[in-house]
Amino acid sequence: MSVLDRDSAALLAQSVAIYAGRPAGSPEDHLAALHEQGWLAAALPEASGGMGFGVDAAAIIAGGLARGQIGEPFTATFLAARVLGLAAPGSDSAKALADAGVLSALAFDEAGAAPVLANADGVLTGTKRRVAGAEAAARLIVTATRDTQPVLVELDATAPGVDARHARRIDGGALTEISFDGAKGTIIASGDIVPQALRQALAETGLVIAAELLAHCDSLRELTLEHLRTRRQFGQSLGGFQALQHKAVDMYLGALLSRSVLDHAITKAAEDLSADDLDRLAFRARARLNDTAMQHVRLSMQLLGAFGTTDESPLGPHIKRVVRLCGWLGTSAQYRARYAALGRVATRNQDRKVTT
Amino acid sequence: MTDTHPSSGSNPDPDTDWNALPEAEFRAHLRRFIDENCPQHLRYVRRRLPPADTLPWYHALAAAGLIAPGWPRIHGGMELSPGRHLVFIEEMDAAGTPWLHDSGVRNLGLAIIAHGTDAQKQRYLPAIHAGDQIWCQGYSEPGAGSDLASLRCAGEIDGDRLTINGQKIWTTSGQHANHMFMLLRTERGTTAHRGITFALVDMATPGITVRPIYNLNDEADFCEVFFDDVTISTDCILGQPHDGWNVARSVLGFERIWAGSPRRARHALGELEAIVAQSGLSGDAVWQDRLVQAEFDTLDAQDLYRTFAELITSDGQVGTEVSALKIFSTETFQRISEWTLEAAGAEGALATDLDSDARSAQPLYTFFESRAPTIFSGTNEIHRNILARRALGLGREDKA
Ligand SMILES: Cc1cc2nc3c(=O)[nH]c(=O)nc-3n(C[C@H](O)[C@H](O)[C@H](O)COP(=O)(O)OP(=O)(O)OC[C@H]3O[C@@H](n4cnc5c(N)ncnc54)[C@H](O)[C@@H]3O)c2cc1C
Repeated sequence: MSVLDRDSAALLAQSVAIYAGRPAGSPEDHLAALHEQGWLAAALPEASGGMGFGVDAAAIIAGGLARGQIGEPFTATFLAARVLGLAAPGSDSAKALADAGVLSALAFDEAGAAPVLANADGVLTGTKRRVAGAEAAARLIVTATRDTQPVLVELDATAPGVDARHARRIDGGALTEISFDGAKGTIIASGDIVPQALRQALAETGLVIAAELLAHCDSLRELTLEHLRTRRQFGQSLGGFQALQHKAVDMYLGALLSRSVLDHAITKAAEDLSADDLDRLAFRARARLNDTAMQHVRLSMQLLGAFGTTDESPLGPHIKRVVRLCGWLGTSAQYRARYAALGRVATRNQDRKVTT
Repeated sequence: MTDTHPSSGSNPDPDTDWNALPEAEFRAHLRRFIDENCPQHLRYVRRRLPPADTLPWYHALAAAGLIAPGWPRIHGGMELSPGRHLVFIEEMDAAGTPWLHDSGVRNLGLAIIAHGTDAQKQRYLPAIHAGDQIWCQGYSEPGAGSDLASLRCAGEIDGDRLTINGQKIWTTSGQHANHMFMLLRTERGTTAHRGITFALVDMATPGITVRPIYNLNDEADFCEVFFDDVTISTDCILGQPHDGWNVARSVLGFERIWAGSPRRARHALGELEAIVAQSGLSGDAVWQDRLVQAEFDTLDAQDLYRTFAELITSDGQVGTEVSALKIFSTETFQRISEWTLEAAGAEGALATDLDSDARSAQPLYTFFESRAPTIFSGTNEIHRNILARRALGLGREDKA
């Protein structure tokens, strides 16, 4: 995994911004463009036909696309690509993604459903829930258990025995529940590498989601500030009212803090961290970004007045996406609970231990 | 006194580049030095001790070239980068070294270096470095708080004499200091920021009265200071007469990032952890969650601090955005102290034992202590005003 230098990062950001600034085309055109740019498979190792880029590049791409409200299917694909890159770089799905932009969706979450079991031939039974990006994906990457071994299985999304039920999300995508009833797949990885890859990919995708959230915060804040500058009441612009100024500053402050937290987390994530420490960084960054994004939703709606509650204001698409992202892979409270389970560290090495 | 301890320029090796030293080595050096030189009875003391108690430690720091982390090396300073400066503070805090009456070092020194005449540099810098001069800051007045430029404490310049009449308030260390740097109104009728003069005053000059003021923690940390026909030489004016506002502003750089240092929040976090455990709440999901929230806020503040420390230029200037750091760090400190007080329950109302070891948690003490940082160094409301105007450009539309 390579880390972008400052210039390459700026170049990448620029080309994403140019692309995201163009009028949106059809989903098919969008997908083709993402593939052509190499962004879809950027996270795959070079040996699998990807770019070997890390979470820093993915964050830039996701953030840039989010500005144009076209974050899908990049982030969901990053999750699948990262698991493939870490656990099964030679799989057909990895090749198809790199060569032809054939999308894979990762099904890992069971959320109380019947666990997915695999037999030695890769035949699956059981149910996965909350799958992201499954509507557009031709391939499914599924975590399963074979005997007591964790395995990773790939299969066609339309294979016999696959039943996908899509529930419409507010941002236009779907949360998909997929039942496998004797569906035939191929085992592409087995053993400890599967949960390890999944854990790392989830942490990194958390950071990529955080980058998307930050971009939405920026858009929401800019729209709000523009409104405060131009809307007049009581013979003056709204921006002249101190109560509103301080609310706007709180948005600014939240975003500044969030950017700093995310930048540090992304920089650190490229270092050789233990799985626990990567999780700690990702959980903390996600909690911060979730909270800041909801703050931006709350305040931008309030400060735009009635218009802010409508489906016609430019806030709408950003708000819908934020609501989606804030619950994806974990809410703030869930991330804090996971962090508590890992163990808090901030005071661990404090010499000046407080005693009671 | 001056010949019993080394003075400025006695840095054993003025060429030491503290920033180039690997961080671990830098920390080890400081730890060793503190162990060998800071006596146990000065460690982890909750009260601010009078200078008489802390001077031997001050002198030891000065002799080792460690008293002025922010000054240039040619003046006996360490010239630490902001990041290193934080490390320095962390080590001093961790070892429980006492608070020093070092406003001369922290605030005034850089102003003298930037604006002082050669004679003023000679006269003040070595004396500050050596601990002979203890300085306090006389800016605020009863009628001039946030609106500092409305200050009225009068200075009348007559030839080479400057006569002072009026009052200052909230003067930290006022009762211990032998010098005050202050802002005076020397011209009226000009725009508010003009006509202010920055003066360096010996507190032994006749006509000065100091009255300590006690805070809710029963500490006399600040004072009111009255001036009644106090006459000094115009040699004591720093920078140009009537241009004191600019002199005062020019030293705000590091002060502004320092005011946002998360060190207080960090300490409060340790206290919260201790009180939650002591109150038998460790297994409680609500308190587990708050502990993580407090840890997240503190670590996030640390990230933001580093971001600004990296941005700060070598001449100590940082952009207006740094107000955000001050707001977040101080409000985090308050939030954590509120949770600690709540976790302490009924015992939270116990009066603080000021003589207790500062490592023992004192929720009420910290709760009161945490009220001040949102007020000093510019109140948080004023920082929000500044950000609204300068960073967001709000409130200007109607004036255009
Ligand atoms: C522990 C401590 C130590 C101090 N040490 C020193 C020292 O050594 N030397 C020194 O000179 N001063 C010192 N100060 C004083 C400090 O600088 C002032 O307290 C500060 O400038 C605020 O002034 P004030 O207290 O008069 O409050 P005010 O300015 O009267 O403010 C009262 C409240 O109104 C709000 N407010 C005021 N104006 C506005 C506005 N335009 N918009 C919105 N809200 C507003 C404030 O934010 C605050 O909440 C110290 C203060 C403390 C607490």
